[in-house]
Amino acid sequence: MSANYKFIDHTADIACEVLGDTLEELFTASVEAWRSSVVEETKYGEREIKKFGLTASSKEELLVDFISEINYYLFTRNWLCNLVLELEIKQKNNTWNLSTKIEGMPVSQDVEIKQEIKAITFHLLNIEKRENQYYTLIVFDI
Amino acid sequence: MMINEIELNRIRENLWEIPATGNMRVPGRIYISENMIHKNFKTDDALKQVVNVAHLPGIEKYSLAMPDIHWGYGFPIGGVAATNLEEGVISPGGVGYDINCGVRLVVTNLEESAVKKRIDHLVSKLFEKVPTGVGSKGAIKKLSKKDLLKVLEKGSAWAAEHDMATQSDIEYTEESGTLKNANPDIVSERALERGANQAGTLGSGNHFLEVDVVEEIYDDKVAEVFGLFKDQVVVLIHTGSRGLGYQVCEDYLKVILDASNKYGFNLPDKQLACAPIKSSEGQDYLAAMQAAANFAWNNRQVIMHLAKKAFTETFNMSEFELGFKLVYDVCHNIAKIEKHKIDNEEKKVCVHRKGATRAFPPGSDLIPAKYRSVGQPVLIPGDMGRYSYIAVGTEKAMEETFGSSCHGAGRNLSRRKALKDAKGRDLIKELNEKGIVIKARGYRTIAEEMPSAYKDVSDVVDVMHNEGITRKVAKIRPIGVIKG
Repeated sequence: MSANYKFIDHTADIACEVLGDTLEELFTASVEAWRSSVVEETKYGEREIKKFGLTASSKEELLVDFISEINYYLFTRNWLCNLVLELEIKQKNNTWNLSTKIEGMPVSQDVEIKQEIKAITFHLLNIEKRENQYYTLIVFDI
Repeated sequence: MMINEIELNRIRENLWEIPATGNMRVPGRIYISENMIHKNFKTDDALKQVVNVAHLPGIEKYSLAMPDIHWGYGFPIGGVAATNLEEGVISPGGVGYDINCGVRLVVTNLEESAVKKRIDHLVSKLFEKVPTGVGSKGAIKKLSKKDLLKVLEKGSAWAAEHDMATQSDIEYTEESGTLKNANPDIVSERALERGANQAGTLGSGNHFLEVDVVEEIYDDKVAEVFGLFKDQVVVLIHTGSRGLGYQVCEDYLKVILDASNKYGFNLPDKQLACAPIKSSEGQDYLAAMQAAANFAWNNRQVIMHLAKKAFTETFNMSEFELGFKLVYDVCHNIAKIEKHKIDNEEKKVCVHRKGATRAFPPGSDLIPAKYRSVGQPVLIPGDMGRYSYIAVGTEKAMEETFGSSCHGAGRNLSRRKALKDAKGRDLIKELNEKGIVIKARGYRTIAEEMPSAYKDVSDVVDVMHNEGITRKVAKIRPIGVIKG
């Protein structure tokens, strides 16, 4: 995984700066940041595929919904997303759509969960273009 | 003085005002010492959040902040705002993700000398009975959907119906452990799924169950009314609505974001998204939030029940001998419809308390009859290596802060910095040497939550005491801790 993200100091929670040449790369890097916040590098076990789609009224909401979905899989369904295999983001008027195929595995006891992320927040979340790259800060509430 | 380009004018020794400028509808007011201002706001933009909250439609009097103010989402932690019911709004950012996160204090008949000998065993027993840590579950049988909906409707009363609470427990819980207008039917399936197996679990982060000793009494009369005496062993429980509450917040944040656009609110921060209280979106959030609040009260009640079992089994005594009695359970993340005096007129308002504790005065008919001569117990946890405080509400809190006070110490170090500082140290041994036995699911939590990661709660409590908002009653120190 390319580490296109950098954690920055936040007193109570986890804050991360994320970059991507495309929105899809930015979203994928955000998943990678989320993953490295919740688990150590683990051996990949049984591989399973999940596909889903999301709709939101802004790209920021779409990003929050995307990571929230993956967060829900882990903390409620005990299923850890390891990779984003496919991701497509489309905008039509004021609607943003995402379709994705992710790979992951059921969490076994030998996967140590470092911390629970309660929620993906909108705090300071603003996806913008900086020097031809998409940039955002994203904060996870723990 | 100017802090981060925000003007702060001193009103009293520990009370500062941000004048209403631009689109602020009211001024901001912060209860804090000058020393804390210089220490706290070096890297923390919480003052800006006090300013942002002052933009909310229908806000009354002031955008307030307690001395444990720090950066939150939308509202600062330690933020209090009351909005009127006519044109006022409700904001999930004024409650937080952990709806009805709160604290309960339980007294026992035991003294430190009797418990100290068996503290290792007691802490192990508590750890065995109360699930802690990430995704903790299974304290009691997984609830069926029918039961879970009942918990959301009834709160602590559900525990009473299932022999996990006494009538006295119900009486000594804020709102008697049930917000009556909760509507479980508008809580999402996903929220129900997240909560089904979490009743009676502590969770992770800063949540804890502590065995403490009353170290100092500041007010004998009030301490006696609260049932406190020196060297007494007490229990402090801090947790909230777990995954169910986080999901309710997440679900309704989306609804309220859309509503903010629909009603044309132009707010400086998305996390301040709000809807008119009267609107269907506002009413739905209020009713779903109340359901999550009820889940949290039941959660703390079940944990108390499990803790009681750990005590009776460890000390081989009856419940009667143990005297495991709830002093009070308070929430510090909530929005409630309350009556307050504004411009000499009694008005119904929606009081948002985000990291702030209700602190009602003597005479209030909303507190248990036993406390009406002295005021409501206000519980203020510190950190796991030093102390926590029990205070009491005053009339001045009603006059100035919509009956609210502080809720804790606030973090001093980021988790990353705390982990770095903990490297090469044996924190369990260090705490042991201070007479504190700790058990946690992982060492990482102990490192992140180590005492120096928190500010000194005394500074926070003293500001409220010196300003007469709450008065100190007792200080307690931990001897046993379980964490996530």
